[in-house]
Amino acid sequence: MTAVSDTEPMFFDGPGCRLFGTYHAAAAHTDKALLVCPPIGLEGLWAHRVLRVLAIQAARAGMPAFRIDYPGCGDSAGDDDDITIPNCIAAAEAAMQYLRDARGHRNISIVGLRLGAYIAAQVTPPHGMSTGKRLLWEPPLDGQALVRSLRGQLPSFLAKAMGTEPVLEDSGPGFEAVGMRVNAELEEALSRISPDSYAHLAPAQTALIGTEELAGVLAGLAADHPLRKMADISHPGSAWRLEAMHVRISIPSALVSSAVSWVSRDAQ
Amino acid sequence: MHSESVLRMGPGAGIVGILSTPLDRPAEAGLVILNAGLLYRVGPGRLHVRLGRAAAMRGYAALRIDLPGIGDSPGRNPGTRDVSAAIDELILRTGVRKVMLFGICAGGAAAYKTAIEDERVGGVLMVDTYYYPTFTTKVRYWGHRLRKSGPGSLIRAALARVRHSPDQSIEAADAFDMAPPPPDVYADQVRQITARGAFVDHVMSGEEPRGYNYAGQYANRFRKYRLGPLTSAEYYPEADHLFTRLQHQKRLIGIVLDRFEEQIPRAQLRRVLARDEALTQSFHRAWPVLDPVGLVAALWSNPGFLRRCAPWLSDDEVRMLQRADPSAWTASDLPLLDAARLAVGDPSARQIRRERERASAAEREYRESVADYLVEASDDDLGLMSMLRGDDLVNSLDDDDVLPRIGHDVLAGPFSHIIVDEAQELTDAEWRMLLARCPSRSFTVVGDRAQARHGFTRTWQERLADAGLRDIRLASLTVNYRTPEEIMREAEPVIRAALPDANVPTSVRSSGIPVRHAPIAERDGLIGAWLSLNEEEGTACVIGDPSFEATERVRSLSPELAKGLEFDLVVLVGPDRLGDGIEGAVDRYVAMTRSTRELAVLT
Repeated sequence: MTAVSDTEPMFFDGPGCRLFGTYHAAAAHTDKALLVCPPIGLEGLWAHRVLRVLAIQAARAGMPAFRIDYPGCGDSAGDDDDITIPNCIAAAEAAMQYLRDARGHRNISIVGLRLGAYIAAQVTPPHGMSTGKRLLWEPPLDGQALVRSLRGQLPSFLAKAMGTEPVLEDSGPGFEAVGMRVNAELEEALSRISPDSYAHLAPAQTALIGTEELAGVLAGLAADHPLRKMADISHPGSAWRLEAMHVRISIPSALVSSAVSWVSRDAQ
Repeated sequence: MHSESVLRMGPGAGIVGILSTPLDRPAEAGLVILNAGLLYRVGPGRLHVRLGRAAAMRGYAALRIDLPGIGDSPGRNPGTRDVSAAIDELILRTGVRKVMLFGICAGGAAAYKTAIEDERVGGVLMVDTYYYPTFTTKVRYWGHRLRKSGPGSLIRAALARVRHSPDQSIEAADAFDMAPPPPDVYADQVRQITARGAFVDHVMSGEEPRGYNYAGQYANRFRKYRLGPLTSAEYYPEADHLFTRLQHQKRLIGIVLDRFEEQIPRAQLRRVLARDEALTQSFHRAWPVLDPVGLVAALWSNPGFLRRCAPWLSDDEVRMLQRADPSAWTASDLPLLDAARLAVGDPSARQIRRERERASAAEREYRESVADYLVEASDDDLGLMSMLRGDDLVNSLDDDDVLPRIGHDVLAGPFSHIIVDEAQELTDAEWRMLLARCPSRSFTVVGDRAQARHGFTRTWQERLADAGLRDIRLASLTVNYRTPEEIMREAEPVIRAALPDANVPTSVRSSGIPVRHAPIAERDGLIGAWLSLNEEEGTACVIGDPSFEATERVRSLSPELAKGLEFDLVVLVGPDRLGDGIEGAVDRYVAMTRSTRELAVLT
C-alpha cells in the first residue's frame, strides 16, 4: 500500500488557469521524473486507475511521477471549451516547469496514454530542462478515424445502456461525446493527427505500446519511418481498456510492470 | 466565483477530496458528493466536478471525495465512518451546519446509510440506488417487452436471467452492500431521518425499467407507510444510469440544487411568513439583525455580556477590558472584528443581495409582461416570438450592470498560499484570521525570535503547531546581508543576554566604521556632521528619543515602529531607558540592527 505522504495531490499554475496534479515521491531525490499524460473524456475516466498504479510503481522504482489533468479535464479548472491541443501541450509543459521549480527535477520522461501519447510526443521541454524517454501507449495514428470513433462514442454508449438508438440532435459546431463536448477547434486538431505527427521523435528514446490494430498501421508505414524503429513493449491481449468501469476494475499488471521497467531503467 | 482546494481527511488523512467554496461569501450549507460505484471523484462525464462548482456558485460548499480504495484514496472497505469524516472536515473548514449527501448508484447507498447514523446530514439525494418495483412496474415492463419483441424474446430473457445469475459483475454492489433494505425497514429508516427535518430523495433514470418505469412508482410503493412530504422520487426516463448526456447532467444538477434550496432556506415558507407583518416584527424583536462591529463593541461596554461570552475571565479582568469609547479600536481588536464578521456576516452585503434579488425580479416581471404582449400580438406561424419565454433567452437578458453591487473584500480569501512576515509578533487570534483565509494551510512564514518584543521562548515548531499549522519545514537564515559585522559584534551579546539560543545570523560584510559611543548631548552635532558628509543621499534615524523632531532625511522612531526598516545611520539614544527583560533587550537589538552602515549609541 502507498503511504499517504508519498502521494501529494495539489493545484499548480497552468496556462491561464489552475491545474490539478498528483505527485508521487520516490524514496530518494533524483534529477529525473516521470510526467504522466492521460487521455481525455471517457478514456480519461477509465484510465485514472491504471495510470495511478503506473505512477505509484514508477515512484517505487525510484522515479518520481507526476499525473496531471489538462484544462477542462478531471479536477483542473475550465470546461469543455478549454480542451484544446495547444492547452493540453501547454499544461504538460507547465507541469514540467513545476517539476523543475518546485521539485528540482530537470530530466523528465513522459508516458502518455491514447491522446496523452500524442500530447507527450508534442511537448517541448522548457528552458534548462531535457526530455528523457517517451512512452507512447496506444497513440492515435489516424486522426480521421479518431474523430469518427469519438463521434460514434455517445450513440453507442447510450444504445448499450438504454437498449435503443438515441436521437441526438446536432447543435452548433463540434459534437457531444460521452461526458464532454468536443469543440470545433479540438475536432479539427484531432483530425490532423497522422503517423508523421510522431516523426520528429528520436526512436532510441521512444517506446510504443499498442494493439494489433496499431501493429497493422505500423506495418503499412515505410520501413525507415521513425515509428517502426521504436521499441515495442506491448503485451498481446493485455489491453488497458476497462469495461463497466463503475462496477469493476482490472489492471493489466504485466503491461504496467513492463512500462515502468522500461521508463525507469537508469532512473537513479 | 468559486475557489477549489485539495483536502485530505479521515484516518491517517487518507481520503482525498476537492473542496469547492464560494469566493464572495461564507458557505450557507455543505454538500458531500460520493463516488458513483468505483468511478473516481470527478464522477461520470465529470458530473461531480460540474455539480460541485455549480453548488459553490450558488453559495454552498461542495466536497467531492474518493472513498478508501477508490480513485486516489488508498485503503479498502469504505464505510459510513469515512463519509462522516468528510462531513467533519467540511464543517471544520467552512463552518456550515447543514450537510447534504449526493451519490449515484453505490454512492447513493453510502449516502443513505450515513444519513441514518449521522444526525448532521440534512438531506440525502440518491440516483438509481434502491429499486422497489410494484405490481404495475412488472406489468409495464413485461408488457413493453412483449409489444417490442414478441413472446419469443420473453422466453429467451427469462432463460438469460437463469443463466446469468445476478452474482456476476456486481463487485461494486457487493462492496457497498447495495441490496435495498426490506420495505418495512426502509420505511422505518426514512421516518427516522425525516423526523429530524432531513429529506430522503431519489432520482430514477430510465436505464433499469425492470426496477423503475413510471412516475409515481415510489409514492405508490410506500403510500401505505405514510412517509410524509420529506421523501420523494423523481423519474427521469430519458436519462441513463450515469446521466451521460450533458443536457441530462444539467437537469440533474438543477434538481439537486433546487432541492437544496427548498430544504435549506425553505424559501417558499419564508415568503409566506414574511407577508405577516406582526409576525415579522415579533421576529425582529426576538432576533435583531446583528452587526459584527456592534457585537465586538458590546464586549467592551457591557460587562455582563463580556462575562457571558468569556466566563473564564475574572471580575478584575472584565473591569479592565471595559472602556469609555468601545469603538476606539486598536490592532488587538482586529481579529475579534474579523471573527465576528465571519460568524455574523456582513449585514450590508445581505441588504444589497436582497435589493439585487428584488430589482432582478422586478426587471424579469416587466420583461415577461412585454414578452406576453409580443407573443399575443405576433401573427407568425413559426412561433418564433415564443422563444422570448425560453430560459436561455430570459437568462441572457439579465443585465448584471444595472443591479446593486456587493463590494468584494480582496483580503477575505480564500487564498491557496499565504506569506507571513514578522511572524514572531502574531498572536493566536491573528493566526486564526490567517488560517480562516487559507483552507489548504499552505504558508511561507518568515520570522525572527530575536525580534519578538513580548518574548518567544519556544521553538518555531512548537509555536506554529500551536497556531494550527501542520507539516512544518524549518530553514534558518545564517547570513546577514544588512548589518555590518562591526555592529553585529555589539548587537549579538545584547540579544544573547536575554535569549541565549536566539538565531543571530553572521554578517557577510564590513563597513570599516566602528560603533560610536558618545554622550546624549552630542546627538545634534553628530547628526549635523553626518548630514554634511552625506549631502546627496542616505537616510538616518534617531531611535528612542521622542524629543528629536524628524526632518526630511532623519526620522525619529520608537524601536517598535523602526522594526522592518533600515537606515544608513542609526542613532540609538539611551538604550538603558528601553527597559529590562526580554522586551528591553529585543528593542535594543532591533534598534541597533536597523543600520546598514553606521551606528551611534548615546548614553
